[in-house]
Amino acid sequence: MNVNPLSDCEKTFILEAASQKIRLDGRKKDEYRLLEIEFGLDWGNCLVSLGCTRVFAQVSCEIYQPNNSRPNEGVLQISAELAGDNKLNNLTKINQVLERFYKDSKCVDLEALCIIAEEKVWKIKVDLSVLNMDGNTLGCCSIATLAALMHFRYPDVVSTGEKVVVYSSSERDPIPLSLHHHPVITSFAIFEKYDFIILDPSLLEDKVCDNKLSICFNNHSEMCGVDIEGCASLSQNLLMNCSNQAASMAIKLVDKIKLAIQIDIKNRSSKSFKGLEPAVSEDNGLKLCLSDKLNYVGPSNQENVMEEIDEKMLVDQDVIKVTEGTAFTASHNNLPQISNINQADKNDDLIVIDPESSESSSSDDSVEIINHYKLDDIRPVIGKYVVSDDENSDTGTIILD
Amino acid sequence: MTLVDFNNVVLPGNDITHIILKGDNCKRSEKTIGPGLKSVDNKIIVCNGGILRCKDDKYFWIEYLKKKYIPAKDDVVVGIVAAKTSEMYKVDIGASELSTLPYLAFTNATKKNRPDIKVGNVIAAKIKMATPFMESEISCVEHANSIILGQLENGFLINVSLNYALRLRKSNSKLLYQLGQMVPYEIVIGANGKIWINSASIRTTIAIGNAILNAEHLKEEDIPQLVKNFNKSLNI
Repeated sequence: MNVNPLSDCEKTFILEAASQKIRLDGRKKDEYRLLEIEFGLDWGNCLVSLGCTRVFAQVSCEIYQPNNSRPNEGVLQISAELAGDNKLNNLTKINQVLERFYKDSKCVDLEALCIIAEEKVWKIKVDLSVLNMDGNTLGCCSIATLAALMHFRYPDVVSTGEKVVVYSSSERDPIPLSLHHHPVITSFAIFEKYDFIILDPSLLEDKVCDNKLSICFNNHSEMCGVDIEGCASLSQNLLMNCSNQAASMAIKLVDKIKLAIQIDIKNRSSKSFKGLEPAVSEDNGLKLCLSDKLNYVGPSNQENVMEEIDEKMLVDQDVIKVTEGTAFTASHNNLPQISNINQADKNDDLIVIDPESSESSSSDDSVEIINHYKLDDIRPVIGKYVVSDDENSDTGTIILD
Repeated sequence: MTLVDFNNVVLPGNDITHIILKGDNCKRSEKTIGPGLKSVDNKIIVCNGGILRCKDDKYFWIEYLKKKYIPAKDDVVVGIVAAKTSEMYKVDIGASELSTLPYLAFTNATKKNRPDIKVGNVIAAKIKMATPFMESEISCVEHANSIILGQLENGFLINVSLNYALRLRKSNSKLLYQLGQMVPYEIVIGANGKIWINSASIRTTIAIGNAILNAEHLKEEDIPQLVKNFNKSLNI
């Protein structure tokens, strides 16, 4: 396990900053980072980002045999894992805390999930994958859990004595989960020595602080659970202060989630709804990497950078075609084909070396491939990008990979 | 073919022997090729797509985007001591493996006069040996007219991308110069993307760190505006 070690420099620096009541990112001590909630195409599928912390949640359901002790109740299961690495112990901690807070507070009406007592109930599974950890992972996970549960719909079921019929979403509208209340976790980091309590700690503050206090409140200002990590002794006064803050914060957070769901349901009716795709492709810096940095490393006159780079790519492709036997052996097999095309139409702007496309493009001059290979266009880089011609759709399909 | 030239985009597989040597085979020993270029069978071949750069008609390299630091000889890096063994420190420099720093690789260090460095301390060091198959070895020995190496006390660490760190390390970096006119500060920029900053107060250190982080995607013309904002935030 290779986690970036914490250096002494950073530790003393943050402690010193805490003694002067300054936070590294310039926030006030009770300020949350920017919270964004986006929903995917499926029900119960959401991406929550709190600053740089990102958590992806997916709710799923299946028909399941109930526990013997509770024959007429559904099952709720919450599991969080770090994308790529599931051995970090603080995620098991997050798992425990989330399960405890959400199950024990009985926010989900489990009895409504019963289909046939002692035989069949719904099992609701919340899978959280932490995409990026930048502090307050627990708070972000809880927001994602709540948003996904509120957004989720399960299929309608009718049981007629011995037969159980599950309707698909096209036959009957799926039903939202019934939630009694909406609990959400607010995290504090406490620097005991300097009497400095901060909300929504960042990763460094999270690592350095003496105590971590997570309080779960619902939107009716009722406490659903408290979790204290660390060894400092906290006074009654301080706990009361924190819980008051957490209560008001929870109301704000739940309102934000409700608003996001309302907007999503409104968007869903319109045809242009694209789910998570725009959020994922635009926000995660792919665009920045491709356009801004290339802007810099490209030629210094900024006006026609894109065109110039395009031109150079073109020229370099020409070079590859001319110099055979260089390291570009992967395209060696295609070289005869390409040279054929060159003879056929030398003025054509051909930039793609692709065995499938080369034949079709030589026959079909109208496919302009170069227009689709701009450096600021993200999609060709991420995955397959299909350029299809309307009339000759069977031959004019070109896949840039 | 003639357009493959300096400050232009080159692609993997391009043969650039003719531009680098300019037909002068006897002067081969005077040329140095850097990252992204490889010498195969008396030819110089590009192996990473990027911009071809040269300095003094002597040093050639490719500027390309990368995310993981790969140790290269004579790079100055900033690392965090991660472990201590009987003969050496293990230092995390952001590469795929920890690098080793022998106890004797400090200026004026002897077997009896050991440096006092603990786990978690931050050091600036130079890479002495870098091979693809072994842990890299770093050293803090200062030679004449080299920069000051060794332990870095106080201050704060920030992480930036590798390309940005290289850009800042160029001596003509406008941003660092203009920040220096506002407030005095100390800075060590490691080639591995770790930057250590120290100044008189916490507030200025944070402000400098944020200014450096924010300037990553800015154009040269916008930097004076950023510095102006920086000055305003200091005065509050």
